[in-house]
Amino acid sequence: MADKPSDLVQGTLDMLILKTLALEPMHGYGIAVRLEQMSKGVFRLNAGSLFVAFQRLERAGLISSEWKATENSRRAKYYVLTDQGRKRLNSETREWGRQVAAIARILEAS
Amino acid sequence: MSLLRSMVVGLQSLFRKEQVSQELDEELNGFLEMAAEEKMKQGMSRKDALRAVRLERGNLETSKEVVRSAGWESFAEICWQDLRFAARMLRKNPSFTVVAVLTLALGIGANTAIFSVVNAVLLRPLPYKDSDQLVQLIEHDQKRGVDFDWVSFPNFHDWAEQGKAFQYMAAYKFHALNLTNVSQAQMLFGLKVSANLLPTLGAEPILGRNFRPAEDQPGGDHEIILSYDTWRQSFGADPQLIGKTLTLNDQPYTVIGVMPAGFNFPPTVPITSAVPSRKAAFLIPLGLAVNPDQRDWNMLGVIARLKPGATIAQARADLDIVSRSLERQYPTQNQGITVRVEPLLNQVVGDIRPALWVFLAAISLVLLVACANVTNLLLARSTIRQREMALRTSLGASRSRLVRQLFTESLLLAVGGGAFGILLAYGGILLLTTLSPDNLPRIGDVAIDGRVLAYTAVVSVLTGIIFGLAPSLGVALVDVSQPLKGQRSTPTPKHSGLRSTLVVSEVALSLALLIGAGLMLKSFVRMERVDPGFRADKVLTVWTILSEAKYAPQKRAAFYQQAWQRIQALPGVKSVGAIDNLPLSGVHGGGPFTIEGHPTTSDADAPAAYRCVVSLNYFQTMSIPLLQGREFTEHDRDGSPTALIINETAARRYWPAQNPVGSRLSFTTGRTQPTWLEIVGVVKDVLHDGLESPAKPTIYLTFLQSPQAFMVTVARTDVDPASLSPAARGAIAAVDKDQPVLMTRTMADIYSDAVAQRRFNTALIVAFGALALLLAMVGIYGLMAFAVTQRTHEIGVRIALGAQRWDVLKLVLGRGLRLALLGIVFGLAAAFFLTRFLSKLLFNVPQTDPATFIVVSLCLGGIALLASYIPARRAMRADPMLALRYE
Repeated sequence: MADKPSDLVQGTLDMLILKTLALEPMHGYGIAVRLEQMSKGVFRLNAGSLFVAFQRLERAGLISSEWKATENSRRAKYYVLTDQGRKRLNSETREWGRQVAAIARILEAS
Repeated sequence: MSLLRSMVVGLQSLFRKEQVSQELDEELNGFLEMAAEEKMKQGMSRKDALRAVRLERGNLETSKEVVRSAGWESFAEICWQDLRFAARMLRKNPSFTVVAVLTLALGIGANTAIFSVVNAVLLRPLPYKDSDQLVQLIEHDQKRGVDFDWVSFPNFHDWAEQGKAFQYMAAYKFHALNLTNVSQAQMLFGLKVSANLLPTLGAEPILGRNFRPAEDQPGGDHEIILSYDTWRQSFGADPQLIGKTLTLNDQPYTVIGVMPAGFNFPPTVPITSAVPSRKAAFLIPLGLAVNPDQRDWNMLGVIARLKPGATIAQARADLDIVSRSLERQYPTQNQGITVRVEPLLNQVVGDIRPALWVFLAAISLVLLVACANVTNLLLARSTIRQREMALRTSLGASRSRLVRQLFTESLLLAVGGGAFGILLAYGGILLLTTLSPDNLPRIGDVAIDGRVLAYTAVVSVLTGIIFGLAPSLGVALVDVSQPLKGQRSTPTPKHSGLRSTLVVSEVALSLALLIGAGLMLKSFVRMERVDPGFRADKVLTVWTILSEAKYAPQKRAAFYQQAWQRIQALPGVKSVGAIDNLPLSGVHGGGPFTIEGHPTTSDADAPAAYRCVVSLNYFQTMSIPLLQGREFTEHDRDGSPTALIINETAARRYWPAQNPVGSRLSFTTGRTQPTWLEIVGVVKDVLHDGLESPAKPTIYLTFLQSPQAFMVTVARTDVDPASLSPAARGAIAAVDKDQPVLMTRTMADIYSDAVAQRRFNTALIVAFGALALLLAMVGIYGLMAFAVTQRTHEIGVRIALGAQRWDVLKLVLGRGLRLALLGIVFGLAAAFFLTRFLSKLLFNVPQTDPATFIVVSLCLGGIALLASYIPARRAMRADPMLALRYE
């Protein structure tokens, strides 16, 4: 587990959080668990970097938050993808696809 | 949008710190609890689960800190903490703070004051509507390579008619009117203008109306528009004045308007002592008709407003075509005459612009010297603060944090300096406006406005960055472990090297400034020593213009003869003369002439000279010696042949290697039948246009043969000439009680006006040089004193080991002198390069005058030696026991 995500990972983390929230609104822990499941345990996120990302995304207007009760009737802050966030996710996904394709081409060429 | 949101959220978390912190607390807590519950489900005890989560996810407090420091508001908070800490540190060291802030305040304040002058004089637009579209049109004589600010009416008329790039073109002419039929006859000084002058400027009267187009034709020209000040001072701001009739030059004039208080045209009255007021008191119509014979009578100022969208280049091209066609049409008078189109602002401030930029550059050098001083102070302090820094580092402060802290201190000092600087600038501006010559255009508008404040703010912050950079970064390089081990703090080589460099550059900069000051001072002395060709002391001048309607030429002679007799009879008056164009007053007139036997084809080829009309005793009264021939006598009068006297320069230039006395010349040129006039004498040159312009060829006529309405009476006295002013006015009134006196001034005042600009320039540059010198000396003294304190121990040991006091003195003095010499070498190089920008301001002194360079360098070296002698003497007296006991 990296102590501090690198720049690439940081940008990717934002995108993965948006992706996770695209399915349904979720609280912090839920997002962490979902990310870990999706990455098959490659990502193990500490609370600090995760919540810094939430703060950053919320200030950028890509997600919003509200306090709700969990299924275990605990109070938790749920994060919701905004319209702007959805747009950003789509464009980032396309961009990501293009980059991956480009890298793949370079790798094949060599 | 998202930036705005970030701001809002950031501000919220700053002001609702508690709530935001609680929410974050709760959220993070929930997160960790949920993680722990997950683990407990797998069978861990709660305690183990919590520990495992802490290991995996980080603990609560660290995470909180990480999240909190990610937002900008935490940065702002740290800055605030830094600021408070910096303020505390500066308060704890009052002497350091006072010296640093004062040094900066001096530099920034002087800079602000000079910039406010630059701002008001050069940068602010003229007070007219869309003033950037206003231009002045000037005749340029290509053959002689000279400009004529004044234009003849026929040329103006043709330019206005044929020029296509202009919305309006207007002409004006200075004019004086005697106001009579009021309690006390008064002379008003104002303008004759074309009817479209006010529309050209985009101005309108506040009362009444402007001239109608037909009203500036000859015959229909008896309307007057008064200035606000005249309306108030001479007519008690009477609103019923519009439509009333005034008697001016014995003619009836109807008041048709009053201009607003802020209106002033022309923006600067030409630099001359002949103008009693800086503001025109009235406008009356020009009333001129095109007279083809007057195409070379240059007497009108011409301004124009460009058509919207038209450029100066277009206007120039346009008028080039016009002037070429006029050249073809009137070859005798207009050959080689082109038109220069200059923005009106350039025309107003063109003369003063180079000087002001030099001042701003010079005062910025002074500010740099001040910066170097403060940097040195800070460096000295940071050596002392090594222990503090080391302690803070070992307690966990990161180096970047320390750098930021020191930088904040520097900026705080700079802002303090800037704030006090503005206070000083107010004083400086007061001083500048009091000392400045009257004719410095727009000097009355100098004030601290938004732009000046912005400039000061930028300069202060820049200053803070410049002097704060080295000390703050120095911290990053210091080995923090040493001071804590209790070792004596010795100046690190890096620091003392930097400090020496700073002192060297300080000395270099001040030397460059001082050499500039030296050159200016020498120019001033050279100018003061210039012989104007007459004796200016103990002469009173009395300025009168007779109304042409009341005084026909013969009556003028009678009036002035009586007036001069009465003034001559006053006690204290030794001799009385008169001239129409008084030297140094800015008034001159003249033109081309023909020498008998040397016909010329056009005006441009003809010899030209100033023309002055003088009374019989003028040369004697002003102590202008006769060189050849004779003076004018009573026999040179109406009916006898016209006699002329020329000056030395005219004789040398136009009658080289021969005696001009007896030669004849004519003021008619070209094809006109000449009237030959005989030269009867040659007098010594007078510097008519000021002490810095060479004498011009001049032809004198005698008053008895060409009586003028406008004469300046000069009276040489053996008492204080100013004290005779009321008596002289009385003498004029005794001849004609309705005849006002334009003004009375002593010739010494007029002389003083002529040198005022140079005196001002010199005083400023010398003051800057002195300020820089003072700062540099404080710098050298500070460095040496500090070095001596730091080396007390070493010096003590040296003395204990048998070094003679003289050796110690040599050690310290040697170092100071080495630095000073190095500074002088660089300073000389800098001065060699920089003084070229001063060359326009110098007079009869080469910009690399070796004597000035050498003398100033020697003086600076001597003062530097003195500045290091004081600490050196202290070092010499160091008690070895005391020094060793420090251990």
